[in-house]
Amino acid sequence: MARKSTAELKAEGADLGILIANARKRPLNFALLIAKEGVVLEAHLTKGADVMRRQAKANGGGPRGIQGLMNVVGKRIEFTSEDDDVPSTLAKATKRHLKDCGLFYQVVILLPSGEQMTDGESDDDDLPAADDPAPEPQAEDQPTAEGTKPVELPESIPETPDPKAELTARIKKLIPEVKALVAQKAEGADQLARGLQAAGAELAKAGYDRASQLLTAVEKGVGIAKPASPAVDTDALRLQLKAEFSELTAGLEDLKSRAGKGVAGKAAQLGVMFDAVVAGDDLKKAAAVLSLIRSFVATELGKLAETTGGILDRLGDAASELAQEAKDMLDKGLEAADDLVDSLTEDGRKKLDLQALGFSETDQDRLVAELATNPNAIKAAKDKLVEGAGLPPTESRALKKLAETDPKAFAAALETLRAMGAVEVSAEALQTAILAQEAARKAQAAAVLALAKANSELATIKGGTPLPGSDWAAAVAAADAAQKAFLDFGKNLPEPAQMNETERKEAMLKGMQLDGRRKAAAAAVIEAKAAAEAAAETALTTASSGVTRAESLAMAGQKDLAAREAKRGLLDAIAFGRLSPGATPAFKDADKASFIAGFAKDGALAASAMELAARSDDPSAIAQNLGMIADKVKDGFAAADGRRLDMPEGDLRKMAQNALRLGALQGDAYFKGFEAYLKSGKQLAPDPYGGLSAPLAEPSAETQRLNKIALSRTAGLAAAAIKDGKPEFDTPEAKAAMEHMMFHPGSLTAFTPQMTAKMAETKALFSDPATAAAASKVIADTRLPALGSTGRQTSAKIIGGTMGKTADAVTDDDAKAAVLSAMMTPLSQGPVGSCFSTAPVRAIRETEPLRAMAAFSTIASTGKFTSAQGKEYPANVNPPKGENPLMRSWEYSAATAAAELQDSVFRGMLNAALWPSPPSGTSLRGLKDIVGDGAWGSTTADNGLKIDGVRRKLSKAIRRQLRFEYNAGPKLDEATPSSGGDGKSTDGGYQIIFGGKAITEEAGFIAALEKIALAATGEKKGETKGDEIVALVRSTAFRDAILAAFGGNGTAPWNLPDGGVAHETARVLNGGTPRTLRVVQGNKPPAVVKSRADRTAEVLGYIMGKADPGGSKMEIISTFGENCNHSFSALPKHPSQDKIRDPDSAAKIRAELIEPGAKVAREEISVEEAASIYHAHMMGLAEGAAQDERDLLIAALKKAPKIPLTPAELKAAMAEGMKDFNAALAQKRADTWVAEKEPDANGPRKAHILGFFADRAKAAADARITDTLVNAIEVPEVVLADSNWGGPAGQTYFVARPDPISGELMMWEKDVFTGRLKPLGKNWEDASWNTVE
Amino acid sequence: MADGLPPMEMDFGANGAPIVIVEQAEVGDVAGLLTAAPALMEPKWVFALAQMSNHLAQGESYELIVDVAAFKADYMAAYEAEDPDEDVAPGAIRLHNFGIPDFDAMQPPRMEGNTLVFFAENIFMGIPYRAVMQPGGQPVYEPVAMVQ
Repeated sequence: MARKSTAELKAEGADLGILIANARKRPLNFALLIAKEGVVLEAHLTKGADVMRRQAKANGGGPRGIQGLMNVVGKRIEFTSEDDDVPSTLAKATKRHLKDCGLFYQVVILLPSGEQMTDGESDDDDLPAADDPAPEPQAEDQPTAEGTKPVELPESIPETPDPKAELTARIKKLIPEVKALVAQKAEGADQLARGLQAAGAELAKAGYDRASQLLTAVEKGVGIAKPASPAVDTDALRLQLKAEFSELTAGLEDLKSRAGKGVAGKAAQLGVMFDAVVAGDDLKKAAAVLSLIRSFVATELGKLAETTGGILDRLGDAASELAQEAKDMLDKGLEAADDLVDSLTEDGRKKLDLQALGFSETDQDRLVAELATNPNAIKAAKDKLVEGAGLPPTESRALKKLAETDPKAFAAALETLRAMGAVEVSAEALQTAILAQEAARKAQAAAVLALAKANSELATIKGGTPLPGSDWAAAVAAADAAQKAFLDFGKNLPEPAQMNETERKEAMLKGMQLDGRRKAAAAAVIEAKAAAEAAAETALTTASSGVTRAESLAMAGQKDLAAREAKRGLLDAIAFGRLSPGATPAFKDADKASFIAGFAKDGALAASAMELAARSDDPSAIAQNLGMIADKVKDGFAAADGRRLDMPEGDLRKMAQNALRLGALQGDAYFKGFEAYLKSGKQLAPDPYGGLSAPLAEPSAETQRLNKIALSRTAGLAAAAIKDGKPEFDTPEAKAAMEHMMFHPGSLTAFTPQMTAKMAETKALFSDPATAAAASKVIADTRLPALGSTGRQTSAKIIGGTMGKTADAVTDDDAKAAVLSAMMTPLSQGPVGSCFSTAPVRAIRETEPLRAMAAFSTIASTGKFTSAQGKEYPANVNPPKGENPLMRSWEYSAATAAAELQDSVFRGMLNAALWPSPPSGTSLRGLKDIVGDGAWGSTTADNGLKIDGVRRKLSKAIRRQLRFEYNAGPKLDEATPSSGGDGKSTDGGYQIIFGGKAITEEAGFIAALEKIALAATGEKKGETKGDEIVALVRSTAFRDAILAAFGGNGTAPWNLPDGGVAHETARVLNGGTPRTLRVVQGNKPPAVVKSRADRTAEVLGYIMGKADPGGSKMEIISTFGENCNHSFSALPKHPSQDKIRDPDSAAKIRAELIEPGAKVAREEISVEEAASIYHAHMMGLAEGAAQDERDLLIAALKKAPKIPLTPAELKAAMAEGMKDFNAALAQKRADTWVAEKEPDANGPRKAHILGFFADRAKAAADARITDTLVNAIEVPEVVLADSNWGGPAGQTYFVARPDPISGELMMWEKDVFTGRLKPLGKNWEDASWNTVE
Repeated sequence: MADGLPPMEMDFGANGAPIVIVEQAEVGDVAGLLTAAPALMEPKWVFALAQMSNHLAQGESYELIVDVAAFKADYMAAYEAEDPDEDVAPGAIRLHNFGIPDFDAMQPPRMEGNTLVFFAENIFMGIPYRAVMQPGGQPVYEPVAMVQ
């Protein structure tokens, strides 16, 4: 085969150039095969790699080669191969082929094993660069993926000077001594080794004085080293190596941007190499590469002005030898040399700080020297760096402040800002970017519509139907007309015999003419159809291209906007946010540095990570793993073999945020586990528990979906954790299940952190020495009731429901697993639940988990619930759909027992009213006189059985037909929706039920009694006795007796007290005679009405007063008031209250809560922060809004604050900004209303309707603004109570904290996991607060 | 008319506690009842004994089940009348909360040796309990097994 001509290569280069350009935009499927001449590369966005391979073969490719995914970054082409069988010369051959085609790229082949194959040549040695004629080192000198090849001494290096020889000898002498100490695990040996390594590094770059200084310290240390035995922790070492590397990335980046091509290329290559090696198991190699990078960076930064040489040119024999020795030492857990250097001299520390900031070695020396005469020399240098960053004054000041307090964070900030580039992030620039992005979004939407239209038109045309108004349609019409004319002509033609010759000839000619026209028109139709098809196909192609282009532009716009928002977010965080001076909680310097670095990777994720960290007990765990998690978003949570999740970026980011949230709860171990899990590829498996099923729009359906997922998860883990009848959480099955709960995309998408926490808590019960034995015994004792025993079927039904089995298929192990499953399910108030039953059982579950476990075990083992009074009930088998049957069976069975007790209380009152003692003629006993003694009393059957007379019939009928039932949410009226079913049940109460309906008024009750009495007596209204019965029941005396029996305070059977009775549930669970006692009176006249702050402080004081050292962490509280009838658990021992406990609690509440709140409300927020809050609010609302509403919200960005404002002023400004939006929204709602409900409305009516919706829009906007502000502005708080409200996904607390807008201390709802707040309401502060004891 | 049994009436005392009036005497427990009306120990009065004992133990909270078939029919009618898909609030009573009892195991009151066995309906819940009374004791109630 003839060699390709220059023209052919050029043409091929043009094609490959397009292909590479496409791969730069997004990864392509590719095949790369070795050909007789070079290689053949085929790639495509959508066609599979197999197809590409066939195509490559068809184009001359041979059998050997690879296929997979192709990606281009900068001048580097990455081919991710699907298998490890790669021709060894492929990378090199590809590079050379590309070069022949005029393309200069570095070629890297990534193998499934994680290894890389490079082209074996310097990155840029082939790049045509006229301004860089200096020859580069040969390929043999380059580091490879396998580590550092033996360093050879180039001829151009000058001979070793004497000091080097002397120092080399000292190092050689020390190496075996230090190695021995390391082997003995002597105390300080690691530091000595690092010192030795550092000395070697200094030696390598001719830092003789520094090397000598270091060696002296090491020699001294060798004499005093003591034995120790720390184990090498490879994970910790990997993290340490990464941390050390992160400190060098600034230098590498600097070299990449400022050094010559060769050095810059090596800097890039070394970075890539380290990333690849450190991810593997050979940390020895990683440490060696790190050592090399450290030396390289230090040397090249110092020599930046010079144009020749690379690090390898500057290493001599001794350095080479040291590098080898260092590998051995580092293999035993060595860390960076910097620590030791820092510990040696103050100057060293300062120089390292400067080095991290990118100062050259010369400048480092100069600045440290200057300190002798100018104490501010370094500060001035840092300030100069800040000023060079071109930031506005506020950000500059903040950055300078950061330099003083947090040097690592400062260095990270400079580096990150440098990496972010000169991106303009002023409010105006952001608005411009947002508008551009909006335009791109709209263009994309239009392009998609155009594509759909083109598709539709093509389908229509191909279906044989011309488009209306088209040429084809016209041609068809013309053809039809021509055909008709021809037919009409024939039809109207006289018989030939009737025509003369001339007429016949004319007719013939006319006929021929019409026939010709007809045929021509038919041909024109065919032609027009073909043209229409061609045009439609062209249009489709154009539309398709348009979509691609529009998508590309939208993506670019999104990327640009994200970059700007990331930078803006970083600067805001430093200026006034979580990273600013005085921010609470104060993050460590290193953590701040990590957060800052995170902004360069994913600004949105970094911002949310900081918020999580602020609420976490272990903020460092989040900070130090943020970079890793951000990388996972970027690589699609890829497995080691490169396979990634096929999910939108937004979903991936949500997964990442949820992973951070779990990590915040579980600490660093979570992130280690997460990395290993992802590497395994398990994340690519489907979620058997349904976590990736689509969310449902209807709230109750969505709640059921989440409950079912939670139930499946707990059952899955519980089943895996029962082995041979015993709880074993360390089996491979249990570990895999637990990992699934924590790491799988389904678990991180349908996120149930509260449930995951309960899983961990349950697991811990079996490992904590204080509980393990008892917990294991409970499980060991759990087994199905014996076959044929009373509770067998009930138990089997509950266990089957819990474990996803049929009742006849369950086993003893299922019973044990069901108990674990119930324990792993958060016992919160269900959607149709009642706080009065939930609060007492939840308190036991939270404070006495073993007791709760025993209760679950009893139900599983007996099918019964036994009250503290000793009464047995069949366990409840009818939980709300999707909820954990065993968990709810305990709560619902206790509720049944409590309801029976309460029924007896109400029944006693009712009996006292209807059957008073002594007997009264105005009561039902008066019926005796009407029906007579004979009918009144019982009779006796032959078998001795008493046959009921009227007296007992009446009594039994009342008991059966008038029933007392708790309604969690009576619907008050049309305008006030019930709270029943929302999981809160704050307006519930007991009602008397007759005929399935609640009786809510006197007339209804009397009517019910009439019916019962007439039925029991067998009399009828309208007859004498019947009318007498009715008259008695309707008499005032009868009514008054009832009211008197119910207390004479307005309470009556038709008007029972609001709220439930938690003390009855407590009684059936705990025994005794608990009562509900008022401890804080309601805030209403005639008492002096107190302010919200005073009421909140009063309740807070009461709750803290319950903090008896021997008492429970949870104390049952019942509140009664308007829409706040609720039972829940006060948390009198919550640590957040410690700062305001006695002595002088009242003064502390003022100092810690009330006064700080007033200060926040009084003081102005900086213009930058105010603008940031304003911006976030509008953009938050815009997300998901209809396009026209979105346009108005984005337009409102122009009204962002330009001056500092108090929170109240900011609220007003935000309200002003939303005016146009509110008006448009109101108009839209009003128009819809008129169109659908009142099409005939006149002008005044329309104006009224508009006014109604305008008021609603404003109220909704105000609520949203308040929501934004209270969640954005930090104020102190303390936790009051656990509300019962929540579920697998979250839990709500009640907290006391000032309103940042008014400054007033108030009560709030707060989600424990997200931290979201919303006002609890004044009605709660004004309610009566009662204890159950 | 039950020849051989003294006149008896089930009632409630001034304090609301269930009593049986045997002729003119009020008795508040089974032992007193059997002292006042020893004929109740005869097998032919087992229904009466069960009825009186149940009253003394539970008042009107439980009703003696004499006709099991009738009870079953009423129970199933009430059961079928409920909405099986209703999400029931805790404390609200539905027969679906418990299931369908083992009606086959239920019988009219009888003596098993010296032990009185009878079934009674818990009026509040609507479900049957099996009561067992040993000689000299009080009735002990246990829920009837649910089979569905």
